Amino acid sequence: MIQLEYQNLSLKSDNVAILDQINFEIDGPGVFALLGPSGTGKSTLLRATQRMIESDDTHWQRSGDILLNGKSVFASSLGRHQLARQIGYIPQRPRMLHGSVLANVEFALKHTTRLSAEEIRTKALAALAEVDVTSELPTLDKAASELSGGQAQRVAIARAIALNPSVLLMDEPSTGLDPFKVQLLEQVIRNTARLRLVVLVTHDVVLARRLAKWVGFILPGENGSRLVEFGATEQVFDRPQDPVVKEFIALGSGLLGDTDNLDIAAREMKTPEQDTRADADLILALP
Amino acid sequence: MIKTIGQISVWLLIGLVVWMGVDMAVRGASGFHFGYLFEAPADMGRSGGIATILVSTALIVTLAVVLAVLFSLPAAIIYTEFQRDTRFWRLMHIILDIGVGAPRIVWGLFGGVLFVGYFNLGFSILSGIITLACLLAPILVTGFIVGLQATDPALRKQCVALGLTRWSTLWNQVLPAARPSLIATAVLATGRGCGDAAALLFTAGVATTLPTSLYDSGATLAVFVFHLLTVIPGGQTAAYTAAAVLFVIMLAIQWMITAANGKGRFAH
Ligand SMILES: Nc1ncnc2c1ncn2[C@@H]1O[C@H](COP(=O)(O)OP(=O)(O)OP(=O)(O)O)[C@@H](O)[C@H]1O
Ligand SMILES: [Mg+2]
Repeated sequence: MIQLEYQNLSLKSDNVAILDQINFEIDGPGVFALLGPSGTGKSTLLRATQRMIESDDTHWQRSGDILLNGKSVFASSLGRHQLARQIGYIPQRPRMLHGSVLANVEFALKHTTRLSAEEIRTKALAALAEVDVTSELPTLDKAASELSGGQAQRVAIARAIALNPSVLLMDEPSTGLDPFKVQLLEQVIRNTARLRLVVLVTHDVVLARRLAKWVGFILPGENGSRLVEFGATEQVFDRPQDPVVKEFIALGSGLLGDTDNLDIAAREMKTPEQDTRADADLILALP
Repeated sequence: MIKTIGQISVWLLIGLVVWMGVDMAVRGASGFHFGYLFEAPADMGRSGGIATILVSTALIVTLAVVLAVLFSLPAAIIYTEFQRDTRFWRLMHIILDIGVGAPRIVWGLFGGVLFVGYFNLGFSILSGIITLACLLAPILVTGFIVGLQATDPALRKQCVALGLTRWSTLWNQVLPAARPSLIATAVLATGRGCGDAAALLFTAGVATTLPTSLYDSGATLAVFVFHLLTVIPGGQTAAYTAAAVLFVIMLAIQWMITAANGKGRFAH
């Protein structure tokens, strides 16, 4: 049982509110999909979960808490590297480390576990095979900096799952992947989520619906983004309460036409201060 | 108008450097002979070779750079890892700027009084090494800090996200990423050390004999040139030859830096 709980988490960066009273709890294993428009703070929420927005970046102000199995991830007794060994994180734009593809996957294993070199090699090879990088490259000794975008994305996934964290935060992992690779990714996430809790940030409504046990939507509000919808996948997708979420789901599932797509694209450019809910009703009211 | 001035300036600059180089080569060549690099100086340096001088130079500059790096690299690492906008680090900035900006002769005086006199090391290679290391340390620290700060912050964050500790991140990823620029800084400092006379004249002294211990006095090439020009009557020709060798060494170091930096200093 893995439990991740957000308790009234609010975040400000240099007094600009980003997240407003985020409050929910998920019990793993399984996939939790977090959706919402661009710039609402999904990545920020993930970074906060791995404590990437603290100590070093003094311009962040936080209130509320994030609990992993009942213990605060911000506890000073818990080192950041110790936390990262429980909670894995694949950033939206993963950075390749120095050295080869294989070295990229082996590196963290080597420095964060006590496994033997052989065991590390076995785990790394298995992870790389799982994301289908092995078959694509002539050799795993290829410099990681020379990978294509989609290959690097998958190496980053392999690197994180090889470490076997109990919670895995994935920030738009399907970026830069072709439909075949998205299908593969889906399988990888399914496998990972069998025993672990996966928090998946994605814009892919269809993927989220297929994978997730729970879904959450965050939308911009006056004091930062709020979690406007949260619950079991079926419930949220079939009976969304919030009109914007309703439209988001419809658009994402390809149920609305192209012109409507343009409309929401234009509206997403607006600042959070503008009341997006009101004109969402308007658009939905159109035939 | 500006274009014309610019063109004239470029040609003047080219002419000047070429003239200086040719002058060096021609006058230097007159004293250069087979074995110049392998013979000890004779007749107070007016004839013979510069073998002993090269030994002293290599000894002083290498050890001074090593000593300075030993202190500067950890200092730069501490600075980049823990730097906050606090009064202490602002003071550190000012101190570094003063250290870098201080005239070499001031370092020479400082070393001469402190190490040669107070610590009683005398005019010795050891005094020279310590003084030169003091002069080079602020230059090295500043250069190392720039090199370390130029590494991609995303690299650090990625390592932290993978559960690495700060030190293992630094050692395994940040330092290798910064290595070319760290090496370039060290080579630059070596160049400064080779070309410097002011800090060594009153510390390592002007002896032209082969040093047998760190307590012997020994002139570096730059000091030797300076000494020939200012003190030894009729030393000008020999000074030119030695200066030409120094010139070649400095050029070689310059090219090493350019090579270490990849494409070179000028963006195309
Ligand atoms: N390091 C930072 N410092 C200050 N503000 C930040 C920082 N990172 C993100 N923000 C701000 O926080 C807000 C949310 O950003 P975030 O990256 O979390 O959005 P997102 O929901 O992940 O968007 P996207 O779907 O485009 O990835 C944005 O307004 C952004 O400008
Ligand atoms: Mg994001």
